[in-house]
Amino acid sequence: MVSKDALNLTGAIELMFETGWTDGLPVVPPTGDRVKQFVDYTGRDPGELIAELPPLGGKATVERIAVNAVMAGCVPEYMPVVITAIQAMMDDRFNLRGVMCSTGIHTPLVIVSGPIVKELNINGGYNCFGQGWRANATIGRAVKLALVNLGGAIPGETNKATFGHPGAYTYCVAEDQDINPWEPLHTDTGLDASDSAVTVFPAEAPHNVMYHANNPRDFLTVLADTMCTLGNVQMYVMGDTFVVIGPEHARFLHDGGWRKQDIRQFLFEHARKPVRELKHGGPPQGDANRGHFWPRFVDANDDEQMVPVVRAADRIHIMVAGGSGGPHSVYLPGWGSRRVTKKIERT
Amino acid sequence: MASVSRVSAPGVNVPGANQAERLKELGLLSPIDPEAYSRWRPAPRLESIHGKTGGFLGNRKANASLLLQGVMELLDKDFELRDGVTTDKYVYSRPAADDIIDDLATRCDFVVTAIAD
Repeated sequence: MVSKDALNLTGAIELMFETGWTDGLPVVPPTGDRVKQFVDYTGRDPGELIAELPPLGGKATVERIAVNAVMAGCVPEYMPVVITAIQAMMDDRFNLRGVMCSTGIHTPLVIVSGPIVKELNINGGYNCFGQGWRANATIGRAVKLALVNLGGAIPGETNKATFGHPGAYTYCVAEDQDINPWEPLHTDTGLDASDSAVTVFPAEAPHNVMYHANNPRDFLTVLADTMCTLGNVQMYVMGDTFVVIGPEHARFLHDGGWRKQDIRQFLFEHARKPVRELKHGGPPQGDANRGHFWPRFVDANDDEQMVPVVRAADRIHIMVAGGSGGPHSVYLPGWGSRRVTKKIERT
Repeated sequence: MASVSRVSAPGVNVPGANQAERLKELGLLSPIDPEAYSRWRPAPRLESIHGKTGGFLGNRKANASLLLQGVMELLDKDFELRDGVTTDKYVYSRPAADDIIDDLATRCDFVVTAIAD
């Protein structure tokens, strides 16, 4: 005998599919009571407008964000992170409309740093880009559901992603301050180390960088080589780029006296390709004016000039995450826009 | 019997009357802003574009210009356009600026736009 509640649950899940409101996986039915719990936790008015999400300009109120967060499987305590991520993506430097409609393979990545990481058990250690942690899985999913349901970034219609990205289901990671020998990621933007913050960045999938020894210059040379491949969109459109240094690599870099700004400078100077080789990639984004996005110091008519992966060293962002014991770090190519960091305000 | 879910691209839908009723019965809230979907509709269609002035708005990528140039030539051949106005957005990943839209709206009877990477 199947109970009426079970039938209602199945019916609710199927209705969510029927309306096209899911990401292709079942969702938690957003009942009024559950949504109210989420709204109440924020201390905000349910009708408060957080953003008008592109491309369609859907009004993302606190209540509508809560509906998407319930559907994603969040708990109420995740709401401040979800709301802050959406607010951060509305910063013009992020270019959310372009990010959500492009033919490229990037998708917004949500990075959480600060004390809230431990409070919410957001994973920045083993398998941090993988499965198994509710906070990572559902915070990232809530953001993605809101972007489609409220923003209207519909695959094949307003979203022209050629291939899409597995992270379009969910893409959320924490910086693990326990293994980070440097200051937290969010302090780059002037926030205090004691703050909690969300950083958003349109990222491709993590690209592994393996290095088994412990020489900082050798490691950074390997990393720099990984960053400046001819197929990397960054070589043509610039924008920000991200490096996630694993704990083993972070340890010998720090012990060797390397600060984050030293690492940025090394990568800026070494992650470069000559104009001659980049010509194989065709005009940057089809623009007949070759070199349109490159730094002014690059002479696009000189085949021997070296083109950096970003326009300036401070466009290379560094965070520390991952499990101990493995000789791995990660490179996250960007798309052409900027990283944005916003403090998580809690009422 | 449970409804069959989509197997194609997951288009977001504004619920129809039947779905709205079922949402209410189940006590569920909607995750969308229905006005965002109803706000965007195709522009009113001309009865004919014969002898009209067409605008051709590219996204500032070389292939878009080629595509739109070809479209303009085909339309001119078939419909004897009065004029063709070609222009590009300033930045391919951002919306066309208001001055471009205003100019096209002033000078053209219809506009064709395209993305081409």
